Amino acid sequence: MPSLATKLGTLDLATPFLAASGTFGYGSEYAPIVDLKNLGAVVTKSLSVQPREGNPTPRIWETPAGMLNAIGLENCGLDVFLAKKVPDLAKLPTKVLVNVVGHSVQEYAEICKRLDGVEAVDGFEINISCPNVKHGTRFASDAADCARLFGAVRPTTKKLLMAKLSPNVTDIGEIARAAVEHGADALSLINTLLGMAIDVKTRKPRIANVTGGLSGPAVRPVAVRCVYQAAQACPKTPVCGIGGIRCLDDALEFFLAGACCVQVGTINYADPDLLNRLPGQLDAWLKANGHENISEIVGKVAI
Amino acid sequence: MNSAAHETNCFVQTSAETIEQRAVSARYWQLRLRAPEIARRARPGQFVMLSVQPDALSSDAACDPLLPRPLALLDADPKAGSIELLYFVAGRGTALLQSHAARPGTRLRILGPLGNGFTVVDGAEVHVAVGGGSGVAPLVYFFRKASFGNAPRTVILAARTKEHLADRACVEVPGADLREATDDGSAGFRGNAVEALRALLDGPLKGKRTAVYAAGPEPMMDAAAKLSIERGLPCRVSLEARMACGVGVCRSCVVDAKTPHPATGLFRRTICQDGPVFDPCELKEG
Repeated sequence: MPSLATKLGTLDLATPFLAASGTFGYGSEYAPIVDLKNLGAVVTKSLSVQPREGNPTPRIWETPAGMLNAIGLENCGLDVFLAKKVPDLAKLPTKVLVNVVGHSVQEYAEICKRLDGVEAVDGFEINISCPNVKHGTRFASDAADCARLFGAVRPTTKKLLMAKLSPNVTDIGEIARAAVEHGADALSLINTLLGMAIDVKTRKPRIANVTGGLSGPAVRPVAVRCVYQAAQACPKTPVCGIGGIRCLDDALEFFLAGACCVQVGTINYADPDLLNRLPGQLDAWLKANGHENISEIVGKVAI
Repeated sequence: MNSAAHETNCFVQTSAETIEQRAVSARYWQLRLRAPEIARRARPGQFVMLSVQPDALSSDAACDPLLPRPLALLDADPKAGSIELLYFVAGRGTALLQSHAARPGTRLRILGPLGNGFTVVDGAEVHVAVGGGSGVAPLVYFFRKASFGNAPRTVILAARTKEHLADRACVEVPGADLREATDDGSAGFRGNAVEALRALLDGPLKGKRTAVYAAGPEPMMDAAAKLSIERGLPCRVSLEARMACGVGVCRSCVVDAKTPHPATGLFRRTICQDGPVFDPCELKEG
């Protein structure tokens, strides 16, 4: 559907619908249900240099119209990723963005460097915003640290670099500008909102990590606001909107706020087939509203 | 992988129509759904992720509660295109399911079948199922459908009182010796599931190579596994946990194994995808 073709920096995406990191594995897990040709890209589970076993359980708690999670970046690490995940990623009929995490600037840079020559990888989502690990949001909450990170990562790769921003900051526009000025090609937002829930009977936190990241429809208004502010701050940079999308209208809000594409995340757990339905629904909506391409509505909120 | 094997390893998302919901004890509800694609693929010990809101609800109304609930299959009838679930009200989601969603004709979103399911332990002379709580469903399904040859089979179903035991029609296993156990002795053996298992292993099954399959509350399963391992008997447990996805991607429902996973190198196993059925000897304790 030509109406859905969208550009994310240098990447041509078939549709503006991506699967968000941590909700879609490595793309093939939902293959029995989701036709990956309906996606613009799959964003992989976060990848670190060393393998990570993640946090103790319980790791999730359902909240009104959302969920808290503190998985703790459980992942197989770079060596196993290259040996066991990349061959399968190469077969996916969609683009692949690798979500990258690190304890240090050097770790982010090492992953991008080692994956720069890997054809199956189309770009990187630099995750500077995980709230569930120590110092997970440092690079997303301090503009100078954010600038330093992208300054170090940019020279390691020619592939797309997308900065995944945290909503847990005072001025998201400032962080967005720091990332873009130091080499980010695109922005994705939001990561989860830091939250907490307590069992009043036992007086214990609902998740073992005590605090966790809130996602799902509950966070969508915060996400739309953040996308609007980031798009205003960086008008020439493509923005990928993330946060509680569970139907076409939700995605349209993000497009109007300034996102050229969106990631569908938490709702994949409940309704993975949504990713099959959204492209047709958007195409029909664009036609019904006299638009030839999605780009015609990006940032067109009437203010 | 041939196409038949591929199909049995595949799950689907479908809109299942509620055929019937029936109270089968003071605690349990038996729910029958029309879901032919799931019925055709299902194996004993597998589960489904069931939304607790009717499909017909608007997106706004349907997003709270957001997540589907993991429920074990009690049976699947490929010819009739139906599946059965056995559940009890454990919280807000299952309460909504029971009171509003599970009405005849209502359509519910469902993902499945999921998980590895039970397999018969090779070389056992006798097979014993020990179940309580939501563990009753997978064990009854397994003991009904699996091929045990001529080996004798016993099913121990435990509950607090007689009123909490599911009715016989719901849990009948043709060819198996069905034994009940209640904490207060109001039906069957007086004592819990593991005490009933111990009595059996020390009595009629003494010296027999018995395979033990346990599912239910965690302390019960832990004790059943411990007892089996002490006696040198093979054991399988079906674990439960809060989970969001059911297919291995959200990493919520992990347990620790003694050896690294061949695909990830990590010690974590997902209950939803690597399990729910495990050999407890392969898991770390606690």
